[in-house]
Amino acid sequence: MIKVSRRTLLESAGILGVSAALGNLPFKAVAAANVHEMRNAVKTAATGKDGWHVSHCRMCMRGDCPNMYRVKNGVVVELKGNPQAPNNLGSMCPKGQSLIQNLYNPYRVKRPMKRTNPKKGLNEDPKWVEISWEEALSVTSKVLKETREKDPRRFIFQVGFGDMNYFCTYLFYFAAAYGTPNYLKSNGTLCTLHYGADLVQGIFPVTVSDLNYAKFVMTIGRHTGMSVGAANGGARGTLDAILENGLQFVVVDPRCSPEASKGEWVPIRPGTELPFLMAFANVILFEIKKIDLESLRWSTNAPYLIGKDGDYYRGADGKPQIYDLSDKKIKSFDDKSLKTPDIYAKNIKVSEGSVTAGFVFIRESLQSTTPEWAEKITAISAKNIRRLAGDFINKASLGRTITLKDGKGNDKVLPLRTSSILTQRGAMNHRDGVGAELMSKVINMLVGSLDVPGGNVGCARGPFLSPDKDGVVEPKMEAIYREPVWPPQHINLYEFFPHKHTMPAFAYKVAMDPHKYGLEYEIDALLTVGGNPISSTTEPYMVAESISKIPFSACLAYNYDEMAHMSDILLPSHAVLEKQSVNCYESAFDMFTKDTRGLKMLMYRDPFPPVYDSRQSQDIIMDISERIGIIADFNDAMNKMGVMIGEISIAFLDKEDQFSLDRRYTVREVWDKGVRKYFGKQHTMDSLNKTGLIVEREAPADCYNLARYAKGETRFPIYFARTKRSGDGLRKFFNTHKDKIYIEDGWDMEKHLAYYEAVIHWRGNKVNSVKDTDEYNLISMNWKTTFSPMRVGGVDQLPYINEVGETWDPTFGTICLNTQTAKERGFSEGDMVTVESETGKVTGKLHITEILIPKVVGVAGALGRMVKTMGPKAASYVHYNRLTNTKISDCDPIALGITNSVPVKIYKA
Amino acid sequence: MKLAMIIDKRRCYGCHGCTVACKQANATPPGTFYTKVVHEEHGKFPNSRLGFMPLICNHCDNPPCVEVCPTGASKKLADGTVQVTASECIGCQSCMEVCPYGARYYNDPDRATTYWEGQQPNEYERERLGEHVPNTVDKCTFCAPRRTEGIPPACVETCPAKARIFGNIEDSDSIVAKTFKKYKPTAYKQEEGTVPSVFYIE
Repeated sequence: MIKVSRRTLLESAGILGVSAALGNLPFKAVAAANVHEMRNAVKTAATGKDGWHVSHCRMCMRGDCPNMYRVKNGVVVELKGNPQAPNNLGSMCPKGQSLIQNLYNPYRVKRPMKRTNPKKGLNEDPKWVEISWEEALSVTSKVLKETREKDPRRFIFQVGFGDMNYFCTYLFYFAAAYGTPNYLKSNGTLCTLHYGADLVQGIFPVTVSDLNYAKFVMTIGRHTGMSVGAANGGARGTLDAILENGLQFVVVDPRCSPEASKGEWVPIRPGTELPFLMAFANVILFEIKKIDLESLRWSTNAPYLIGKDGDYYRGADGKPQIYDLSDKKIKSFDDKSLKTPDIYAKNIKVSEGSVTAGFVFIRESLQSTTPEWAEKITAISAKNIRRLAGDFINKASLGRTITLKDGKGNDKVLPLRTSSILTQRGAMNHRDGVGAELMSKVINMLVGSLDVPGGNVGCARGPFLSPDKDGVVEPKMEAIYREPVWPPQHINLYEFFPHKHTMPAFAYKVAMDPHKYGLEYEIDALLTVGGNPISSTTEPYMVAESISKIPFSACLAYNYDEMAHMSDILLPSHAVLEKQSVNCYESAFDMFTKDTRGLKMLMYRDPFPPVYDSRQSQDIIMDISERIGIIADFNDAMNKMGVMIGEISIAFLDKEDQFSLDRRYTVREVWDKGVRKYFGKQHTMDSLNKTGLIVEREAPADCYNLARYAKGETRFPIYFARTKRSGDGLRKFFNTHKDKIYIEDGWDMEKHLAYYEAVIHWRGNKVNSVKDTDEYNLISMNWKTTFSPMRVGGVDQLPYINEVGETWDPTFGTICLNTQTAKERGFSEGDMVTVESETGKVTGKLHITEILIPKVVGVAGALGRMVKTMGPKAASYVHYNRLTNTKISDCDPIALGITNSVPVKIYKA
Repeated sequence: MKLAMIIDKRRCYGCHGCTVACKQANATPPGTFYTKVVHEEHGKFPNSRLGFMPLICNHCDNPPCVEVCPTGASKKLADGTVQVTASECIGCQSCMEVCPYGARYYNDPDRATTYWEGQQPNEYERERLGEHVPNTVDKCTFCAPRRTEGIPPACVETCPAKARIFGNIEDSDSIVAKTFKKYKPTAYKQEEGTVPSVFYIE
């Protein structure tokens, strides 16, 4: 047997001073071989010792790029992507490549601090003094204990992406153990995108396009990873599909993003995605007239008969009824004799009068939404809408199937649908955002492309399409309706908005005068972990004022951001590389590619010894729990809620392995139990320390959830009966308590509830009706960037990021305007301009560009700060969030997403 | 032997993973970019789009920087790369003037020694900033230190788009040679007569 040394291998691969070509290849097979050799090339060192260590990133909210760091002389001197990782294939983005600056950031909170200036405000000097950990923990715990004894609702537990290193695990447990309903997330304010995915496909958090087979993908107000510089495979897979598979990749967006530049850009006015989609559907239904009839009959509730009340017409057995064309009889949806469900059944006589199939109402609602109608609203020409709808249908592979292997090795024949549409933040953070999302689902259902190969698929591993008692997909999270109660218990008035994602800024508005809103308590204490509702949501000055009035505030702080600035006690938390961490990746949130489809991957970070006197945030929280006297409740919550080892990965422990209630566990022990339960007993935290990864794959057929169910066994809702029911329930509740309920001045219940409809309609609003003669006659928009897609990791204060952004990206930190619009208003490149909305204003340097639709003011990235304690740069950039607001009458009434494009005016500063 | 790089512009989406990976791997001081990506706009609205032009030392076969160097500090090596020997460099910066690619950077003795304005160099900077000798000129080495460890250049390894292909272009079995044959990439500013070792797929 020939013994091959590592050097021989490397020489044959041409690496040693010659033709190195590892992992950068367009030819996948060779790339894989080279990755294998890299695997041999890396040996890990013991924790804290010189050498390479396994890790994973957390410089954006996904945190799913495995990487490695090298220690020399006790200092972290180098980083690289983990070449074994099947998603990022050893690559890293600029944020990940800045992890060393995140670690050795001189503006970190280096030791526990106490405020000595009792006056709180963004412009007040807190006059910090150093204190011991003992004092910091005892002061914080004492206040939280007293507050809990008084009323646990008086405590806000404020979290965010910044410290969700093994995602929300300990956050959920602490809120549950404490007993507060006021668990607020500052993340997600600008991403209220979960309702439609849950309602229609029963999946959290999102759905994605399956690029393994797709021929046409239209992505609206979203990115595939390119815009945020993501290294986790979605962007790479999109490029592969465009360049190698001939994918028609259409990006509908007011701005030509990097994605749009690789495909086809369709400029659209902000906030007009819904009428565009309605016209798109109109062309399919009334001009092209090609749909997947079989799929609509058997995989949707399109044939369900609708009664006078707008809900399902039910038979004597209480089940929704369908008109069977084959024998012209009305039958229950699950009747075994059902042969030809009629989606066009109209005015079918029943004892109560007449009933009509839900699809008929959808069709009728789209009859007048012609491309000519939409052109006036969207700025997309009628001709272009027709062409795109034609391409969508022509490339959908209607009638085709594909055979794939399932987990048992059996062949499964699945529908193949190769056209899909996706919407996200840019389409959803509008008044009619949920409507736009649901209309995109309707169009996908017209060709049967939900959860089948090539289509629009749930991002996570299944099964997730379980039917409810009506045979329709059962929602599991934000689309579940919970009956409201009076008086409201939550500071964010969750009771009034049962499908909301998150709205922390509104919660702080309520917190300033809770009794006005019907709450029975006031807020006494605030603890923040990784969240920043001041700079990262909306109406930052209002939020800061509200927080300044809360009697006690503590913060697990990485840096001196706005939340730290407003605190009484700072409990320094680790930088990313100092955090021991596990995080489970379970399928891509951007695109299904051949590298990421069905991928389940556990990542581990070997912690670097703390540079300063900081601690692991989970340990801090458990210490506080112990001091408050709720550690048993904490452990009980872990037993009941499962050990969360990833955003969508929860390990429910076997009874014999559950946590004892009387013990304080270490976070390592918690994860060890979770990892063994989720991945098998052969895996421990110690074994993870060597490889950094556990990788599993799901069989191809099992990745497509519709294949898990027999014909007609579970149906996607195309007629949104549940949404209407939510509105009906809320109307009853609001009317019952109309003398007591206050939401905001001028709030109109009927206007609000009109959006809770089974069939989507278009309505004018502040953004989609802006005119040249208005005072605020332009529309603002903001987009994610490679440098600061969000503020996770303090990226906006890291010099590498700021230097590269300022030097090479002209949109970084500037205000952007289309060339023609700038000319009409007499502006030149570099002018200092002020952008003003009804709510606030920002000033910055103007950049004139051809890649933005006219009459739109663009501000890139999550930049801009309200305090100068994060270094001189961070506060110098344009802070977009000052322009938007928390007005409920401007929000999406269902998901409660803020309107992230608002009417503005612009003038020279 | 000739080390070469092919950059597939169709794949680059301007994330700057390469720009920062290079800074991190080579511990370059503020203002120095061995590699970078220039953002471009092409066309007029609505037929406009973004373009990205990654730049790096072209390790030319006919390098004007080597020709003009008065001390021989800049040299063409047998592996095809152009390197600078810091101990032989007198910091005259003649090479910077003749490089058509703007690939060279001067280590000003008065330059900032930390990225953190108003602060002392941090632990990483103290450990690594000495790698850049004051009063000398620096440039991309195709990550010579990494290659001796069997690791490809940082920009190649980190590229999330897999847009950079690197290797011995004279080895017909190498991926870079096969890619060259398949796509026939072109050099940037070839009219300068520099005969670059960096090629672009448009």
